[in-house]
Amino acid sequence: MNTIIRNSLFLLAASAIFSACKDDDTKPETPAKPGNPVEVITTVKLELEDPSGKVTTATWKDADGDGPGAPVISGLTLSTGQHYDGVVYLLDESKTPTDSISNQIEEKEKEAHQFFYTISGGAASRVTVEKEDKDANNLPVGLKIHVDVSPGMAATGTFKLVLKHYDGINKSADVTVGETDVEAEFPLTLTP
Amino acid sequence: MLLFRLTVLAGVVCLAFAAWAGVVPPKKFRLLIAVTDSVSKKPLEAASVYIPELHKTMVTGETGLLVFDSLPKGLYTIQSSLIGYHQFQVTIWLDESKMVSIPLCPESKHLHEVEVTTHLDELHDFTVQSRVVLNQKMIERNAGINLAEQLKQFAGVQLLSSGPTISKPVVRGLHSNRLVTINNGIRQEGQQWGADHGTEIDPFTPAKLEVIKGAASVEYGVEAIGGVVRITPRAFKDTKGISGEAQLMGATNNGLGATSLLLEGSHFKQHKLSWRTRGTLRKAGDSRTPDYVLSNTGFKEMDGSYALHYAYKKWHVEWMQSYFSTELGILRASHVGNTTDLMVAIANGKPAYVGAFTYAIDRPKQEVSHLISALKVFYTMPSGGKVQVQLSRQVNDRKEFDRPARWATSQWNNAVPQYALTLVTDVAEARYEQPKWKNIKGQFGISWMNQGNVTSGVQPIIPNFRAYTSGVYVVEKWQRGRWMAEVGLRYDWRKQTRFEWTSNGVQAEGKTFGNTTFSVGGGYLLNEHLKVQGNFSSAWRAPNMNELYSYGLHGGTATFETGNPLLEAERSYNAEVGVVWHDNVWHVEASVYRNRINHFIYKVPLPQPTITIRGAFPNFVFVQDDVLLQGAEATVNRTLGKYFVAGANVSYLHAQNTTDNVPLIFMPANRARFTLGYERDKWWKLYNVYTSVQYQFTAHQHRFPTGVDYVNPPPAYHLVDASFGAETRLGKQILRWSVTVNNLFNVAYRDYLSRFRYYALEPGSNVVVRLIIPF
Repeated sequence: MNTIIRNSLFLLAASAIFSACKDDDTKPETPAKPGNPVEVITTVKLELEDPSGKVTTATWKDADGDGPGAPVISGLTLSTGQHYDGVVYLLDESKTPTDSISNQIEEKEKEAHQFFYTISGGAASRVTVEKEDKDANNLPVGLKIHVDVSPGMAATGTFKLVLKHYDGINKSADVTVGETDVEAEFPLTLTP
Repeated sequence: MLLFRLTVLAGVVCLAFAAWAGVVPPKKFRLLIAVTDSVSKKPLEAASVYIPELHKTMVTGETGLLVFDSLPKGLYTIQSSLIGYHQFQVTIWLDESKMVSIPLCPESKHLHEVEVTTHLDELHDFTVQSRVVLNQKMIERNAGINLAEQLKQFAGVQLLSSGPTISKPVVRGLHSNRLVTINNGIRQEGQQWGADHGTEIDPFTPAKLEVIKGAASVEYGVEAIGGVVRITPRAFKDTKGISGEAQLMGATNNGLGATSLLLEGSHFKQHKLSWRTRGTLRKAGDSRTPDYVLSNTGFKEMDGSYALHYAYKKWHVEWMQSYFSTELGILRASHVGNTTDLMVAIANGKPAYVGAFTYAIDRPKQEVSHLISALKVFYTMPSGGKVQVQLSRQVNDRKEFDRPARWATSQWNNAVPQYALTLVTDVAEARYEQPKWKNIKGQFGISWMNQGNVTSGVQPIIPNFRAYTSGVYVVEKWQRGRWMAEVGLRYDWRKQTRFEWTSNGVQAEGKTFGNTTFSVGGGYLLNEHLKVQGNFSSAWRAPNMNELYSYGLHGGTATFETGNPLLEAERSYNAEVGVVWHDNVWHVEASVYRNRINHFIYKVPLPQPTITIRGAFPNFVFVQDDVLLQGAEATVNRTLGKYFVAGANVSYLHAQNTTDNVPLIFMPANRARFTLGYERDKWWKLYNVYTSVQYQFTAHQHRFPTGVDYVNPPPAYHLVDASFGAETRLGKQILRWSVTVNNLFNVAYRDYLSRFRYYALEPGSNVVVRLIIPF
């Protein structure tokens, strides 16, 4: 009995030593090639169309996603006394071909997302934004908007877009509820 | 601060009252000692028995018996020796008249070797540093909870937590990379730099837990600027046969169920083979605060280990492997979109998402495993010198998963960790302990470490790296009469190289550090009760990879972190003075320290935030300043009458950034703890009965730099714990059990060192039931 215990214990120890000393394939000297393996939003694009069919666009692009690089922003210029129908595009331009996140929200995730628009500065009282689309629960989404600019003098301000998602909580009209996916601020100019 | 002073004052008054109440006519007891031959069982004549507490030596007569009369209650050490026999020492607690039998082993009959686990540890017996120890009895009473939670009862030790699942110890304000953890003689190497990276050790393994406070790195290697946490497992079984122990534990707050099974054996006489194996399972669901459930704070842990020990004549060989693995949820509400969301969460004062209690673990979460394999060889030379050679490999695997955005379909279908790190550490070390020569004993050693880290994931937080560290050290201790002195010197050399992809392919960037560590200390025994000790030491730490190169967004704190490749090594100069008083009634320890750390590395926000498409994030960068940590600790224990023990401990810390002359951020608040315990050997049908009540006061941290953190430190809080335990005997079977209630009054509080205080309260009351079945 004792010999059996002794032999089996030594066998166990020997096999363990071999398994522990086996070289694994972790080699710090050969790092993996960088590249973002997952989806990110790199670009927010606003396309506003006036009744004549003229399209005004604004883009907010941060090529490195959550990285530290500064964004490249082109502002929005709207005409006073005009109204526009707008569409928001969220794109992942780090992938080829470009991935459309807004399409995904439109197709599958409307119930869990909502856009908010805030105008501030001198243009604050001059511009109103209404959300045109609804989800299955008849609650607003905001991928499609209607923008109204009151007549008057030239003005400047900012046009802020916030996308919230709701994970296990109810959609709310309060912008502070939910988790922020996008917070992009465009310079806004109103010209007569 | 006033409140803190008042509480300390109240405690002192309480103790003084207790001291007064305890002045009843002291009872005297009789101690009968019987010295026998352990093999023949016959009484031994002419054996000398020495009791140091009494400064008294007596020699046995024909009957082998000795009587010490009219002894006051207290702890006594009995040392007995006789030519031809091994020395024997036992410590007893005298609270009734007792007979103690001393079996002396004949040298001819036994091939006795000193217990392996204490082989090279004797040096610590007369340490001149602040050291606190949790023994097996105290550990059993707290078994199954995170190690840091067990350590926080010491003066000067606090807890840094990231929700109820992740915690790590803070010693005198320092933590993470500034503390070294020695697990079963092996320096534990994981991603310990992260404040939200807990200790990766099976909480049931320790038989002894020890914290050495202050720079203690001469024997333990670089980085131990703050101190050392030493974890010692059970000693190998000494008697022939197989035995074991089953431990069961349950807790109400988070539905924790834990079990640990220990089996151990010892075989053969000449070629002595001992073994020990342990398996542990722990599973918990969401924790609860007094007001709401902390959603997604469950965990699932599986640990296993085995060790073999072979002894033959002057040789000991030990082989061990241990595996730790855990999957733990991170408070769901702590994952915020951007700084605006974080400010909203702080303003709301409660988590944005609170679900029903569940055991399910969702993202964000961590998956961590740690494998240790080690081979140790001991040899006692004919001269009495001892040699130890140790080889070890550790593989630490850490995966952290963020909660993806809803539209990130591929991440929901196929989880890609935010980062995955695999750290492999190989260590070879050798020590030589010289035989005692003219009141001097000491040891010297060399060590070599090779570390490789491989990173992957969405946003690698630290780069791939390779680090080589070599060290050489010597420690000498001298003791004569009432004096003792200690000197230690160490030199370490470290080369670390990071590997990263650039447009020109793989780029390697190396840094080399080399420096000395030293310590000098002394102690003096004024009388048999009072010891005074002092120590001055200096240690250093090379900047860690995350401090040099981290680059990315932290979901939990909504901050962007940037490393600083220009950082230099930190150096500390720590001076400390302490007194220890010990008599039959009182045990008092007090110390004051002054730790100056030059080039202390910490994070500050840059004036310009980082703008991303998710919004603005404060940009934190690692900088260096000189800091000064000054503090004091005191522990007082007093026996009251026959069965009661009262205790108190106080921790005080004053931490200042002396470069900018502002308080240092995230330093633990001052704290006082008071305990009242009742213990007796037998009561009704129960044995070893104990009950205790513990009150802890944590002050408000009023010293912090303004305008750096999102929110000011939380207010002071009071906690009360209570426990009752005993031993039940069913025939020959012993069952040890206990019931503990933590946070008895279900107090709602936040702690300054909890990283989740922005989002949620700390857990509410918790009833813990433990059962230990030895067999």
